[in-house]
Amino acid sequence: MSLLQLNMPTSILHKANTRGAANHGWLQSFHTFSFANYYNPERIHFGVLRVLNDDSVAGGKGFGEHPHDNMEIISIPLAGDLEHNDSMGNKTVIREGDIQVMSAGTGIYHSEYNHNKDQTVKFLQIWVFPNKKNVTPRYDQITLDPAARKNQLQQILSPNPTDEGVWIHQDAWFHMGTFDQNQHVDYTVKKAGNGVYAFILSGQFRIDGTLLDPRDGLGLTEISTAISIEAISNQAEILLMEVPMQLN
Amino acid sequence: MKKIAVLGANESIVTVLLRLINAYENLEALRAEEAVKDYIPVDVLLLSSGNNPEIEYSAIAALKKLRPEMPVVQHYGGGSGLLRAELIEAFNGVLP
Repeated sequence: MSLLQLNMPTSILHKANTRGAANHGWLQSFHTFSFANYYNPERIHFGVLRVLNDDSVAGGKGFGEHPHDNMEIISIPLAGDLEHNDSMGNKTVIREGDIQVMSAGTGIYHSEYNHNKDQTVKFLQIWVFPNKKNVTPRYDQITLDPAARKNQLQQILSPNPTDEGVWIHQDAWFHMGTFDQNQHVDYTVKKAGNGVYAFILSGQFRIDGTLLDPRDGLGLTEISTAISIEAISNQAEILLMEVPMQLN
Repeated sequence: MKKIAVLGANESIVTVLLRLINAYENLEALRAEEAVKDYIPVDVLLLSSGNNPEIEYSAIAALKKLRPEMPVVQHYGGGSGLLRAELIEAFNGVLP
């Protein structure tokens, strides 16, 4: 075994077309990990990252009021607008470029509807196991500056309320970036032992030698050096999720 | 018919979980308090949110006394999203 191989992290590749799929007419969803009626014992979670759903909701339709508890729930609209209502009195619209976070804790009720009647809303729904159970529920949303992710990684989530992006009850850091062809960036984990799950939103990337197409996911663990990320196409967009690999 | 007991402090979420579990053909949901009070052995204990640690501990102990091999499953998410996977794992990969 060469020195190069010794330094390579362990990886798991989830090609886009191997995800679970659900088509409810008004909702089309692709599940990277087991969710609802999709169950794959090989794909339950990546560390504390439990849900990565790639949802499209038809105009005017949506998820009626339903409960959640003990989960950090992050929504990232990719196209269109999502109308949010919850039991804490929040009534808002999140749009492309925003990020929404809910700490469900002891319990929260919410609904999410497509704000527009004539346009599909596409968004990512991400669930992260919290590092503390039964916290007081909270809600937040912010608007991100897309210019801050051009050919670089923009932090959109962290464990720190005073840091850039939204925060959650977990030692997790999320970044997004939009890259021109042949642009390259290295990512160093914030916390030793954490894994990184990369999800390609558009275009193609090569990460530590693995070629990734749109909606492919790559999980990396046992990371000892910086992760090498290279855009293979123009307008290549990526979401990087650094998460603890041990469940609390 | 397999029995699933649910223990949680958030009444509305417990109600949702009972309804979701009862929708499965071969599963029957009941409240953990009822199972403890009436000495009903259950196949799985599902722990929902907000439980007082002492109440949780005593419920686990009481129900394990009736069926020592009973799996205790921590439920996350509060709805249908993760429930099916949690139940399948509790039954070693096959939902009854």
